[in-house]
Amino acid sequence: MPIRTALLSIVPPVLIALAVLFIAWRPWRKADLKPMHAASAAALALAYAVTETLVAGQWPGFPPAEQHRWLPYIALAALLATPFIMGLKGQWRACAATTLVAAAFFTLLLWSGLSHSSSRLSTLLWMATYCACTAFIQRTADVRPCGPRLPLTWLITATGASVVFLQTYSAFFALMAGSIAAVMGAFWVVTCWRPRLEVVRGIGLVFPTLLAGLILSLPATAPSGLLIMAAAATPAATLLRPFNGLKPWLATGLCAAAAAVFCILGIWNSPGGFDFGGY
Amino acid sequence: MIRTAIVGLIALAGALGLASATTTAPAENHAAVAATAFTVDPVHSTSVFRIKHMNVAYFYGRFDKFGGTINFDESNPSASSAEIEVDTASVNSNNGKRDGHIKSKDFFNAAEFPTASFKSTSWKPAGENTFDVAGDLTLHGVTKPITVKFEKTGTGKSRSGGALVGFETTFTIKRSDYGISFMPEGLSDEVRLTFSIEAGST
Repeated sequence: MPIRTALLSIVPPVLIALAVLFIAWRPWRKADLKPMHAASAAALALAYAVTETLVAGQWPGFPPAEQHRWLPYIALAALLATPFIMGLKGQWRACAATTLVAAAFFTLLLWSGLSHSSSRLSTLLWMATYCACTAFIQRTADVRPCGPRLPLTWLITATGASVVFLQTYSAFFALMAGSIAAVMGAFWVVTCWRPRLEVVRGIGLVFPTLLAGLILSLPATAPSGLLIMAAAATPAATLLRPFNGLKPWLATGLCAAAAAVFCILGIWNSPGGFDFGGY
Repeated sequence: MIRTAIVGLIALAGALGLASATTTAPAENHAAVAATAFTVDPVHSTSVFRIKHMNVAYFYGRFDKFGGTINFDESNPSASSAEIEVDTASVNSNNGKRDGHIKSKDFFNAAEFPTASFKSTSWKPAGENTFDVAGDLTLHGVTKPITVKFEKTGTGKSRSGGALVGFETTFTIKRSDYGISFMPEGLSDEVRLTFSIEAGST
């Protein structure tokens, strides 16, 4: 893969993420957390949509000719749905709304599987699984909105997803997962610098939707995809006993290590496995 | 004795003459074909593509599975038609990893678009044994009109006595015209395709 193509998936998302956060945060003023929620969601959704267009060479058009090219639209729709879901009172309402929104998005991606009677049941099962994962991850982000734990774990997860996609013979998907990793890298740096900024809470819907959307769009990743989603969900364990009593740095380290293990298992289980030789 | 030798020489000369006559290369057979429906013989037909890698060198690949029908009327070419269908998942570039990549959503997206096809809309004579064939090329879910030159490469009879006809066409497309625009630095936009078809009457 030419270096210029690889850089397209890293440099623009980082610049977009930092620019959007900077504009929303305006560090010269007193920190206001509410704009940060929308800003982090906007940073991720815009970074994805812009990078997708740069890597593919053109905006997907409407309706897109290929199902996976609904993802830029889904990113922007998830951005619009974020304030609505964050405004819901009660965790079960938020979970139910996240599940319904994710189901609508995944229906767009999996329409061909749903329209054939032979694959409808298996497609519905995959959809239900990934909707549950999305709601679970969204809930984790809602409970733990600050600090570098989630951005670091999701940086590792998105990087692992990128390698899994590469080992499933799709450089395009690898680059798009790479763009998510790049945004998470930028978020991680910001949260290390200012741990009290609520950067993560806003991406509770956009991040898992995009990650699950990429996985569902590439059926060959099916078993590895579940391991990648498990990697993204590892911070949820720190909300439970006995892990909720751990020191923050230790809990962050454990989450990162567990996510890395899940990603390695995912890569091992991918069609290309650990054979990184090119062609 | 002398008479026997002369007869022998004449017989030998005759035999040599016959042998030379039978070893002469046969002339290309372009006998006119009456209106006939032909089915592409996948065993004796080939489809090859050529694309430039990293702006350095061309590599060639092929499609192992393709088929179709040709209704060919040499006395009235405008009444002819052709439909060719290629199985995009049968791409073979002599490297399994590369084949997996070409079939993926980066390029052909063979899961969503399992076939590429050409359906002719008009045939016009364009010289001896050549025809300008206009039609719709569908690739990656995008259909665009193109005109290609079909050369009739020969006619004959199959072992079962059915009529055979051969065609060859080479043409160039831009993959970006068909929504396959990923990695422009790695692979050229222009792709050259060659189809050499042997078809038998049905």
